[in-house]
Amino acid sequence: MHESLGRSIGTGAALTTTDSLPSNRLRAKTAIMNDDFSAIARSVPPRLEQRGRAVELLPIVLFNTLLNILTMSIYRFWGKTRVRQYLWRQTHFMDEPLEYTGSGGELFKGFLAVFFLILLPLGTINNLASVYLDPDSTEFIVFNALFYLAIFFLVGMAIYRARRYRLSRTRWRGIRGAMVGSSAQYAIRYLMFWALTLASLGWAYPWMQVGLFKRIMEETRFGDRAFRVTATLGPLYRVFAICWFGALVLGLGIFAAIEYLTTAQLVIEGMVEGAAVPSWISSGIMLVVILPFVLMLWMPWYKAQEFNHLAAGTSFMAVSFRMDVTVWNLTGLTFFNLAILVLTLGFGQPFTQLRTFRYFCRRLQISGELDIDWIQQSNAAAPTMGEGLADAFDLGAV
Amino acid sequence: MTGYRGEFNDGRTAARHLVMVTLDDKGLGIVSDPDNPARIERLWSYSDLRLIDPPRKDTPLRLTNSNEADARLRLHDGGFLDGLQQRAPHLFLRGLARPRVRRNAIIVLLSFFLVVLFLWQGVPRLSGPLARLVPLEWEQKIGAIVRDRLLAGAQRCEAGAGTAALDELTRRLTLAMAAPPSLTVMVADRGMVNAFAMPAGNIVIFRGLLKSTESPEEVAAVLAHEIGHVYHRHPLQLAMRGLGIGMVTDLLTGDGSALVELAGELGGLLLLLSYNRDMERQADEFGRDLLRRADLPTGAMTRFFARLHKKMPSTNGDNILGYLNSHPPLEERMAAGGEEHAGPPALDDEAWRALKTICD
Repeated sequence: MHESLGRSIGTGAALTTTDSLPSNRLRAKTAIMNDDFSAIARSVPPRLEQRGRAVELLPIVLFNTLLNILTMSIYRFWGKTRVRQYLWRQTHFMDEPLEYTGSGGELFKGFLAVFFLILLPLGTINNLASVYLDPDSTEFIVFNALFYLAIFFLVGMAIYRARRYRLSRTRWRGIRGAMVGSSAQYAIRYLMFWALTLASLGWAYPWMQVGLFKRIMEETRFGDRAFRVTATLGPLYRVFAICWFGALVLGLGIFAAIEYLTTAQLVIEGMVEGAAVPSWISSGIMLVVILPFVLMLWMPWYKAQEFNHLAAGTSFMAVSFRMDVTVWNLTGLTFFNLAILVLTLGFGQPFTQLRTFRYFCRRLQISGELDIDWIQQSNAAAPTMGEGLADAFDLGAV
Repeated sequence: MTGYRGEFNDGRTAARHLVMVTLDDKGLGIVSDPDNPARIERLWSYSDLRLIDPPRKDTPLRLTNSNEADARLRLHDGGFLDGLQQRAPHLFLRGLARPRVRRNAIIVLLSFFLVVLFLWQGVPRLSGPLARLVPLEWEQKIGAIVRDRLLAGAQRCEAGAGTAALDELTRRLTLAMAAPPSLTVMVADRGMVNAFAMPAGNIVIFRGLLKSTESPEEVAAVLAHEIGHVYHRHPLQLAMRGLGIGMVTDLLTGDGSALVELAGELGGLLLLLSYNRDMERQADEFGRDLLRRADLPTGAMTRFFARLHKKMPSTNGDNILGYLNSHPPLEERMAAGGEEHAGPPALDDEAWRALKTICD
């Protein structure tokens, strides 16, 4: 039975150099392989591909919806797991599918732990405070500020921990991913960056995006290998500045129009004699209210640039990435996903996840020779339960 | 014996090894090319095998082994699937036939049943004892919150003579009690025909209800009924029940933000959940007894409700509906009876007029 056996394409153990394996050596090895294996063993470009189809996802979604209704949404942990199993196994890297090894029970345990250890105490403390403290007192204001800081901190923590769980349950060729940093440290950064962003009227936003992305990616592992992020701030700030000042001009325009129309209306109704000049203070407040909304209008443009820039500034071993997201197809994706969510009352969320997966797989280009054989299994500790916080704050797209 | 070509990952590195896979009585055999420096030789017993994806003819089959959980085997040959199905049929069981799925389904059903049982029986039973544990200071704060919420936007009606008349009625009733509770009774400027008892002895009567009464004895009857709720600490029980139900629904939907806002919702919860029949009956009984002891006619209550009932289909019907709905059926109240009493009137004419016009 051994007569038709081929040889393995490169084995890490046989090689002594720790630097990148010369690619011609790999090809030579492939060339002398037995014919029988050539069909499977031909070299495949490093490419991510999502082959999932909405038709195949539909029965899973219908079943989950039914069970969610019957169990008052307790089934969601198991349903989510089934959707992930499908999405993961339809995601192919170099023609080989990923694998999701998480379970509904782990998500449920994570949820119970967070509910009893964090949400219930927090809720109780908040309850006690609103009963015992006078709503107008400084103590109450201080308490509220601290309370919402804590919530923000927990959101940062939730983002990191959910990612840690998902990566630890994601495998390719049996090798799993990992997050090796501390979620608390990430949460502190998250909190600080958001405070800066708000205080600077948005100007710290690109800095935050790059800073948090760098942190998260450099602490991400596939097996024992890390990602590197070298993205700079300059190009992003150029785009952001254009968006911000564009928003300011547009905001001022809208603001002036509103002022003009309301004044005109009041004049018509005889409430104000002539054009009343609005005071500077109320104008300022109104502008601050309008500005974020107008900034949102420019967001897709900035966001598209951000995706491309961050991807281009990332590398893994000798492999580099390129993303070609454009404003129009990003807006299209967001808009249709939103439409799906609204029309299906949220039950169609897995379809939006499939679309997003497919979109980014298609837009991502990977170049360079990947010396897969050098990647060893991760020895980072994997969490035993997952995503309780993310579930509580309704975070996480997948 | 036939061999099938496959790809093997040993779980230590991401390297791919091309292997030959065989199926025989001992188990699933995996062997690599003899010249391969990293020689692979495995025998996986069928009972330790695990399928990674649901098996399909058109996609490669992925397998692992529970003793070597990081290792992966991938086969492209459709013939292998048939062979494996014969050797290890337990891998191909579907749905509830699979032991793990069956166990999980039982756990989920059981916990669902427990939650329903807790909501239906546990929460109402626990709310009484829990309410008794709440310290007075707490109750006062809760009472104030609920009252402020209820009165939000509505004026508190105060007129020297009218307020005095209301206090007089209240005093007359509390004097008849062995251990009078501390009460705060007020009239709120709202058109709804309703009255509420809230934690810490707060009682609010709406202008609408006051307008519908035709004698001071009827007001006394409503007041006695609400004092009954206060005496049995029903408002706090309701608050506890609301908290319990809120907590369980939060647990189910996992919505932490709702829990965080629970304090603010307290007032809303109290109003949403009306007193149940048993509580109303208790308050009725207490009220009737109190009226009797205060030397006031117990028939006034029945009369008042009978009149509301008759008015109900009229224009402002839904205002009255609210109050009637949360109370025992009229027939039941009639049956419980109430005799006319020939005692002195609850208030003299002047005080009664002042009370009726307290909001004007």
